[in-house]
Amino acid sequence: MTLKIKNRDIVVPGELLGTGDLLLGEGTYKRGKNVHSNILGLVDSKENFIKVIALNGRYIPKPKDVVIGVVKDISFSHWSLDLNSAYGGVLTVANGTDYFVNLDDEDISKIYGIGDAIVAKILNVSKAMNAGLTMKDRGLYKLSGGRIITITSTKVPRVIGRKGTMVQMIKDMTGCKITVGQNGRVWISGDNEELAVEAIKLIESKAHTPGLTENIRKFLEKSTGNKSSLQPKPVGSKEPEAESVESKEPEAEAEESKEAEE
Amino acid sequence: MGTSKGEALIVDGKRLDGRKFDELRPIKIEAGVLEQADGSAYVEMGGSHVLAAVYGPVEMHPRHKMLPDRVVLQTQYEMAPFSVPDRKRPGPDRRSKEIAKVTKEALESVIYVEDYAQSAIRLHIEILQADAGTRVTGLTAASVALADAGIKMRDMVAACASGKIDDTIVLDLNGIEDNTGQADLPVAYAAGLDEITLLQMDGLMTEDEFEKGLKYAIDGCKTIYELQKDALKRRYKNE
Amino acid sequence: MSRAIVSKIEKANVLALAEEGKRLDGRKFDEIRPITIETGLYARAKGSANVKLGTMEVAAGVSIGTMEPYPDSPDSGTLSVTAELTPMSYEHFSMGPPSDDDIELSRVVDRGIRESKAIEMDKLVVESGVEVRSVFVDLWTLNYAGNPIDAASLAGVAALHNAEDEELGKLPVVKKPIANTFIKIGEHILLDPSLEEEKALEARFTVTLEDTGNVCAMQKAGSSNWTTDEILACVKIAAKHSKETRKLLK
Repeated sequence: MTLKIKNRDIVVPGELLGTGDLLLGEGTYKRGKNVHSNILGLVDSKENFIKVIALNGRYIPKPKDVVIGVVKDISFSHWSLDLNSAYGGVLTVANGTDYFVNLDDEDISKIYGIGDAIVAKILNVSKAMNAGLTMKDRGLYKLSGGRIITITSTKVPRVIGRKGTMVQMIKDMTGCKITVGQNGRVWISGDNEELAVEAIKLIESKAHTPGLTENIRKFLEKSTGNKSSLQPKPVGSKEPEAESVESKEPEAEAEESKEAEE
Repeated sequence: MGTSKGEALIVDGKRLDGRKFDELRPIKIEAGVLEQADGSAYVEMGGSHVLAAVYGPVEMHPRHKMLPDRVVLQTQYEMAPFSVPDRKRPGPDRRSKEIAKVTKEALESVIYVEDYAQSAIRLHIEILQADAGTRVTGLTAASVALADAGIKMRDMVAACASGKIDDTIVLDLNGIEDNTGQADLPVAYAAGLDEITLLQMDGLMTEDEFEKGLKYAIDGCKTIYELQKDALKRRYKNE
Repeated sequence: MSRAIVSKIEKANVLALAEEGKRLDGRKFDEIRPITIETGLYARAKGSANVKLGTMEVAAGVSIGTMEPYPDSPDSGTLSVTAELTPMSYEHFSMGPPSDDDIELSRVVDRGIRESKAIEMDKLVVESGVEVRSVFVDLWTLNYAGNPIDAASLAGVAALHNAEDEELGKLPVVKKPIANTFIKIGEHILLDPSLEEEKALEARFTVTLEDTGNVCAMQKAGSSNWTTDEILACVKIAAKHSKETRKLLK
């Protein structure tokens, strides 16, 4: 097995990554004995495993993802949600409430109306690419107050950070509640919303660079004049950023600062 | 031989702009130049300047044209009214519709179309300044814009045109050469796959001339491919 | 103008900030975004310009041709302004024939140029009653970031001042009309709406002033209404700011 590129290289669609026996992850494909990238992205290679992390791309709904949807249409028994995607989501009354709703008596637009933003979880994605959503889980609710920004969905793992450390740092330093949807919508509410927005936009623009956590920490410390309470990383330690892509615990993504995190 | 005014296009073994027969015009490629578009690119091939933008995958409109098993690549090729000396009336004409069709097909062949079923990818190619070779410049820009948008593709596609002037095969005709040339051969090529994804020809060529023209164009595409790669990597280098 | 899905929270946030005297991008209510103007970029046109108002980018090109004059004005050249909110510039603009928004944009920009008498139309006669010069201004949005009217108007005027023709010489352009667009959020009036601000509401008002301070074009748009005081306040702010913006056009 020979590699033609290094870890963290930026590669383009069609670019040769290596030859021979390699365990392949997302963003790669084989042509005979050769492995190529099929996306513009960052190489993540360890031992015999190689994948390419996309630098850009619109959100495509996946089961178990926690997302922020906006109600765009209401029918008799379900809400249609915009998911900031080519594909929409459907929330049935049964999945949208914890209590029994008598559809003969109730107008469900009184529960969630057009324009309401809600944190929901994707249960399944049909063949017709409709996402079936639920709110029946911890950390899923209708949002109010604060503000919503939209970032590229491929950058969401960097905003959350490994085991939620990046978003926790921003919450601490800005005094804000923050909910990050896998579909790129981020809800922020609290003391210094502007700073939180700046920090998140900074992560979005520098997502592929090394030492990101440290840079964001420095940015936040400089802007607030306070020191972060999180442990600084020892000098020379391996950057965890590349691994944060795999941390997808729903709790870390959907929680407010009030709820316990690991 | 020569232009309609009887002037030669090749003098002392060189073209009027000093280029060798197999030499491309100066090329500039920049990726990620527009804020709203998911992916974008700006390309200059000599005096042809083109902007390409991609939105996708997005919801398909009109819905009834949606395909159940693959994406619809909605392609628009448009020349700005101010891209040519005699103002071009805005709106699609037959030429731009044909170019949009062959461009779309050239790119669909490398895009993972099944991965975006039931959605659309919008591709907009706008010619800001025209000096021959606008369709190939547009295709080169489109490929970069698609990659920039994060669309999955087997390979990048580069494009350029060769042609015949004064009975000689040359690469990358400029406006003057194209106006009075004897043949025009635009080619799009996926260098990594060794696949031709667009090929058109008009004029008169012998089989040998065609073979030479095709070889020139493919070599030109290989050079442009490296520039496309470089533009995309440069975009993320010093942010 | 935009048909994007906007949540109640996003709309409420713009209003909440306005109540505190703030805007999303940190500007003051009567502050416009930074402007860059480049001329002569599109070499095939007789005159051209590219304007960025923040990141609202418009390309403008001027063409000059000849035609028969209109029967009621045998000694006047003709002017035609066409603007397009291109689908390239924004996800929510669709391909196809000109929309109502494209047409309104064209006509509002046209009005500013025409009514200010920016072009000396009587100097565009080749032969009285037989042949006059026709001036076309084409405006294309390249990136949409809110307030296309002010950006397109500036681009059109810059392109006209850049225009020249072999026969005619420099196009006789003597005025620099400046458009100023406002939106109303609650009781607050904001100049030069950004995309997020536009998405949050619909009440818009544009006033164009020419060099000597005269008002030469106005357009109220959207289904929310304005009081007399609010309109007069806009005109005052516009009068002050158009002077500053005009200095950017050399």
